Amino acid sequence: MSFLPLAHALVSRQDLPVPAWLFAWGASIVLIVSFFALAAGWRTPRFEQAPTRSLGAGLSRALLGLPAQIVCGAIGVFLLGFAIYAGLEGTEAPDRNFALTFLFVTCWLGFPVFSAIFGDIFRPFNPWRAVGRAVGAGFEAIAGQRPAHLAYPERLGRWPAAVGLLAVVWLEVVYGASGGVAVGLDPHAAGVAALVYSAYTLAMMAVFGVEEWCERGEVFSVYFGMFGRLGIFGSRDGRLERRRPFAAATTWATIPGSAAVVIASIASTSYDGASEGAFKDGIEGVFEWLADTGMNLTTALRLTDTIFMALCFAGVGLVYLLGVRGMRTVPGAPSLAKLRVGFAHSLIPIALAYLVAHYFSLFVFQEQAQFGYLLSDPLGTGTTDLFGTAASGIDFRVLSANAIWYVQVGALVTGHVIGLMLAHDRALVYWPEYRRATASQYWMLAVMVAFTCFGLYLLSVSNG
Amino acid sequence: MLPLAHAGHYALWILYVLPVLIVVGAIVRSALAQRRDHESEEPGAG
Repeated sequence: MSFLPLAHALVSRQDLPVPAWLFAWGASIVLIVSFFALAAGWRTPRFEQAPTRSLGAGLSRALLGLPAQIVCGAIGVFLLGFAIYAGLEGTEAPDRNFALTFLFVTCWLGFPVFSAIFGDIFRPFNPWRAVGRAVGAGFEAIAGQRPAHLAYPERLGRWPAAVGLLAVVWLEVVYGASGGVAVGLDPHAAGVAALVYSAYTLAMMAVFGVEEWCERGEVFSVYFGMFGRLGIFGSRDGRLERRRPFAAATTWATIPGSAAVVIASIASTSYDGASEGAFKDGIEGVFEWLADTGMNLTTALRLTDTIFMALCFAGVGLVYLLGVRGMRTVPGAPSLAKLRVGFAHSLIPIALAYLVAHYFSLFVFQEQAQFGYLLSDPLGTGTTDLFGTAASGIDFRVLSANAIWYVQVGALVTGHVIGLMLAHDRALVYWPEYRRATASQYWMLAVMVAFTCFGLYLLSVSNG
Repeated sequence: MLPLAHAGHYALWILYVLPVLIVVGAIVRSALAQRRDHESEEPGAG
């Protein structure tokens, strides 16, 4: 998230007891030990068709009933509308305008983390779903029949969401370039983008149906819902249920394009982290080469960033495909296509780990602004003080550089160990003989070690 | 020619890649050993 460059500069320098690269070696050893522990003690699938426990009917009615849906939907619509208004009418200073922090920090980073704990909490607050359902209900009341929709092309799957996910990150980290300098997205552009996206989403909902589009094409529903599959609460047939953590992820990737969504998530986070660190020299080199050809500086920078972002997507996808290809060599392996789909859900915790590792400090710092001066003076005009906190600031001392690093390492290791667990569990479905299942997972171990070391390398360069 | 100042930068990159190479090397070695065992069992299997 490039609109707040100072957030990193104001944190104290790291003073680690051992070189940062040794953490990569330590993390790799943890993964290898976890792998053999799984091989020794986990010999039947535990996540597939894991038991769920229905919560009380009263609680389900209270949280999932129509009144709750209306209230949550109205809150979502109000907040989106307010963010758009702040973006269009508020100050152009990114750090003083409610819109950017609310959209790109509070929502973009907050929903994945809390969904991974509690389940898909975005769904009830989804403003586009709320509007779409309200319009559908109005149509039904007037016309006396449900609105008709086109059948969604099965092959398209979640590809619109994958492309949309990359587009959202592209907008935030690539589009915000001016005169060859990455200045970050301005609030007005964010407001316009939110309006355009709203129009596009509502049109798609009208064509394919609200729930169909939310399940497959709506970027935020698919993205936050993906992390929600890790959480402990879900719903079925109008009943709230408690489920085994991570178990619901096993059925997430059955729709085509799902692997692309989770790969896009890891790739876009990697790119954002690497653009200021590991890729900096490369980006400067390509940018200068393009600029020397006479290309407009802003176009040259955007094109360069787009190329590197696409390379990240290709690189992450290639590492995953190599792991899957390796599994194919184990006797009794299903088809490559089945393996590719079957193990995609094991990348979800890695996507979350990357998100936490890269943005944890930004989230902690910016939420102080969100619930401090941005809440009191959302337009950043300096003339409003709704809650008496307009003069508050951000205390960058709440996190030391070492604390940030330890959280980053902890998040990456935990996410990859959970990824290994999910992959191991799926392997036991495809290879019921556990020795073969374990042999197939050597390749996923390599994938996990590669993603862990890559993530730590990006962070160490950015932090350094 | 690479400037010396960059040498440390590239060396650092290698330190992060080494664990991956070690794991991949171990997997390839294990896979080859298994294939050899499988091939040596086959002639007497019939």
